[in-house]
Amino acid sequence: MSEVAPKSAAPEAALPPQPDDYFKNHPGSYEELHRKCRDIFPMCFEGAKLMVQKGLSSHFQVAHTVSISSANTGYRFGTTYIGSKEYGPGESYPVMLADTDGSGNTSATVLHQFGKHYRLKFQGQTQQGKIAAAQTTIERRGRLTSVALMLGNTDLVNGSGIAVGHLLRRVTERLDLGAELVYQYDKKQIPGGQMSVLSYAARYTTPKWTLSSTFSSSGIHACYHHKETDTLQFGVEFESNFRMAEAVTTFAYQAEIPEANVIMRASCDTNWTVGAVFEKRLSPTLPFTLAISGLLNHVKAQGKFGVGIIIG
Amino acid sequence: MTATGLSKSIRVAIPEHPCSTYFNMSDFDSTPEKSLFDQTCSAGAEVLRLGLQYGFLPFVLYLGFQRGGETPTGERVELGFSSLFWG
Repeated sequence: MSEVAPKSAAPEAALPPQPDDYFKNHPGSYEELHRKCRDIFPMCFEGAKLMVQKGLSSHFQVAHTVSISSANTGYRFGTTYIGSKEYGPGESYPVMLADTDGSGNTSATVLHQFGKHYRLKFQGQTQQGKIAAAQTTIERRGRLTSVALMLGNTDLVNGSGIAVGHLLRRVTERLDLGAELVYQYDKKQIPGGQMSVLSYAARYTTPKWTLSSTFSSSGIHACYHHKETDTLQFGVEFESNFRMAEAVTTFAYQAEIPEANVIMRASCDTNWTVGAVFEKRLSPTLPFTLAISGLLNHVKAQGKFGVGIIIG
Repeated sequence: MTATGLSKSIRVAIPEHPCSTYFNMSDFDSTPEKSLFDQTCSAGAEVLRLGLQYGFLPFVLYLGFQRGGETPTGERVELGFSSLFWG
């Protein structure tokens, strides 16, 4: 007796991609085009800094920072809240970051995802009792495409503001192409009341190196990132401004020594500026990290030195 | 008295006689009144600034406190004001 197929058996069809695989080939956002290279560059700071980071739960953490420097002296309090709505491994929303100092200068960031495709980000900053900056970004993440619109410093009374549109698409497994349109309007500051700049972007990714570039009528910005080993990475950045007739090339590296719990980042550029940040975890069991920073411009004979302790 | 003489006497009268009923054209505010739309936008910006400067940080703290704290072992604990600094 032959087996009878169940009536409810559906004809053979391709299964829709699982949620975890849907964004497998996503190119990321346009703002993170040069991320791999920029992460290697040292973030030099000046003066003394003490930072205590306290994770009260997996969703809530606070940070206390005391800094003494010629540019910024005082206490800052920051807090981060991460919601429980998960849209992927390690991605929970909403994300809220708040940071304030003793003078009342506050910065706020809210990041939330609506559904599977839409992401909204708001950033605001107040200084001396006024709004210094306010920016809203809405991004649509498709399977191979990322489209975003940013509205910044919109002043409806004085008729000024800035709008930026981004598009980034994965063309092949290794090649991403994109474009950016920046539109700025201001009746008082800009001749003609408005201006716009169109840029194009390209990124070629291999397992060992990444080359990314943006180019427009105003300049070229190119980054090359090379991962030699798990503990050694290099980066080269080239920035040029055709209007100012200036160009700068910066070379940087990041070296890690896991046995000594050391991370070293250093850079030098064609303006004869050398910078480095040295971070060492003081104890494998206790969360104490020592950070030493130095920046020196040989031509101008100017330098900055900083030392910091990070707890947590 | 000529028209010129009369106008001169008006210009002289104003600083010397503060109680004068004559009006100086420069006393009038030449700034045009803000429209309802401009007033609404300005009020909205002020509300946004106040909300950002005084309300956002307490709101994030409220969300964190409402959720409660966790020890490294995963045990839930109550959070207090002192939890922000020590404990």
